[in-house]
Amino acid sequence: MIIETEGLTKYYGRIRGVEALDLAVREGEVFGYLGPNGAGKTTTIRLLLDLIRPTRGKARLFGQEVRGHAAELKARVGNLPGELSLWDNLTGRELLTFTSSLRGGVDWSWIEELAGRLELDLSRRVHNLSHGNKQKVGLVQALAHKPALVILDEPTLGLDPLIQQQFYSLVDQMKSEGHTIFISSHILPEIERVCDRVGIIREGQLVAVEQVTELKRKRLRQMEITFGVPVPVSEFDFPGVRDAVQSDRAVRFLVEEVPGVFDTIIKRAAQFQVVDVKVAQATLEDVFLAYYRKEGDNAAA
Amino acid sequence: MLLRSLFLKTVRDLRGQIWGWGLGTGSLAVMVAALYPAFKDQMGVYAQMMSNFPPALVAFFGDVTDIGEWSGWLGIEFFSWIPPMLAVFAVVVGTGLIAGEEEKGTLDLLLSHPIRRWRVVMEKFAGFVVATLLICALICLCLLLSAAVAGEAKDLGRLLLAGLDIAPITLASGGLALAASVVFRQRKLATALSVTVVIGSWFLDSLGKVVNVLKPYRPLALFHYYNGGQVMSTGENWSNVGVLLGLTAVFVLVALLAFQRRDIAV
Repeated sequence: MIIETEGLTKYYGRIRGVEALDLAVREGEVFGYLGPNGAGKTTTIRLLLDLIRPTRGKARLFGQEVRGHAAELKARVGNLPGELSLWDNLTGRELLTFTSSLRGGVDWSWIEELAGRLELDLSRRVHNLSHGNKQKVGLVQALAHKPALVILDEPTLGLDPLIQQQFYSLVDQMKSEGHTIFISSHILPEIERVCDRVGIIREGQLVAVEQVTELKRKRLRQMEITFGVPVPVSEFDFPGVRDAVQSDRAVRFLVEEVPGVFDTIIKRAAQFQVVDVKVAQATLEDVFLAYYRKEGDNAAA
Repeated sequence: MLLRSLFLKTVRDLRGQIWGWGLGTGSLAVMVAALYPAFKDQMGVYAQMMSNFPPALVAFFGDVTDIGEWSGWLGIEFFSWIPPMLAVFAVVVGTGLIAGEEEKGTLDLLLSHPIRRWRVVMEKFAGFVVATLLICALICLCLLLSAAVAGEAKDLGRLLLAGLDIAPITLASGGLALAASVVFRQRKLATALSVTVVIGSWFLDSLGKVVNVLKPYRPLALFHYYNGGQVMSTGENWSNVGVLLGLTAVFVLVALLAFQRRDIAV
């Protein structure tokens, strides 16, 4: 295992960070760490990097315990922190010179190649860079030494779609070269796009670990149909439709990926006067509530 | 070149402060020296004026028996004022070494690299030590210039030693600020605490010279161990230097131990 945690728990005073995490990430996989903001994703990553110390439990990288071996282990890890802060007064090249020196030197032709692929100008000062370009500097920094394990904390947060695609293609390349990638995100499609397996974290606890194919099977759409007159929700009570609610003349529900479900919905709706139809990807929270609700969890209320 | 290690980057980040504080305070020495010839001529008037002051007030400003001499003049008008000024530099930089990076969020990035925590503290503090020595070197250059301006060329060795004597008290103040910032985690709190201790100790030492109640507590003040202008008249007091450097080491050790154990704030 490249990453392994055993009952890993972190409390900040009385505030919960993560609780009894048992994670296992295999060599060469792209592991998605999915959860809403505040679920404990960054806390987990900071524990793995020994930036914070566990209240209980253990974290291991490459089979070695993080506590006591952090510096050696970090030589084989590249990290892009969430809410990245860089030394603003340096140019991209200066910053990478500095971070490379902390690793005892790296292959600059690879840095130039990365910068070229990401269309990143290394001669500009960091404080003059846009958010997206700062993220690129952070990514180049994380990949510069071709680490065996790459940890990316919300890497595409606030990036435009074009740059996101560049990120994803780099991740694909790293994967094909055998690197293990641990990527945290609260964006479901992103995880579906790049990952092999997904750990789902909610309120500090790992609620499920699934293959991405399984997660895709559980993909939900949010649908809202507005009618000319109020239509009772019971009209949409059939397999594949869940959590239907009526508000005034609109009916809202979640749709599962069941074959033929849209056909049934449209045909049923067509029996009434339809004014408007909206379909959207369900939010992560909807997916959680639909599939990963815990016993006695009243978050749905 | 200056980005090849954390130590060198720390010195690089302090470039502006080194030039600013070194030449800023150093130029005061030149100004004071320029006033010296005029003052020397008026010594009689000045001595009479001083004799009218309450002895306690006179003592507060230091040993004025030799103010008519070049060493006494520099001691009172320059060497007694510079360390409290440089304490500002020491506290600002000392609290910023770790807590500054932590507040900016760059400490997460730094510690994502294979560098041990004790090494971060040591390399950063070493950068501060070098910056302090460079400031003292600039002050020494200005002191040589001031000696030329005042036409006082004798005992240049002691003059330079007095310039370097500013370093131990500045290092101790910076060490205290570093330790406070690592232990208390908040830069503002650490700054307030360090300023209170450093400036408080300057007052304690100065007032202790004239207020009998405070006299026994003078050894508790950092500034009690600063030799100042006395280096020019009586030579360096190495045991005082030792106390300040020893305290600096203790402060850095506290910072090392505290930083080794604690969580890095987000």
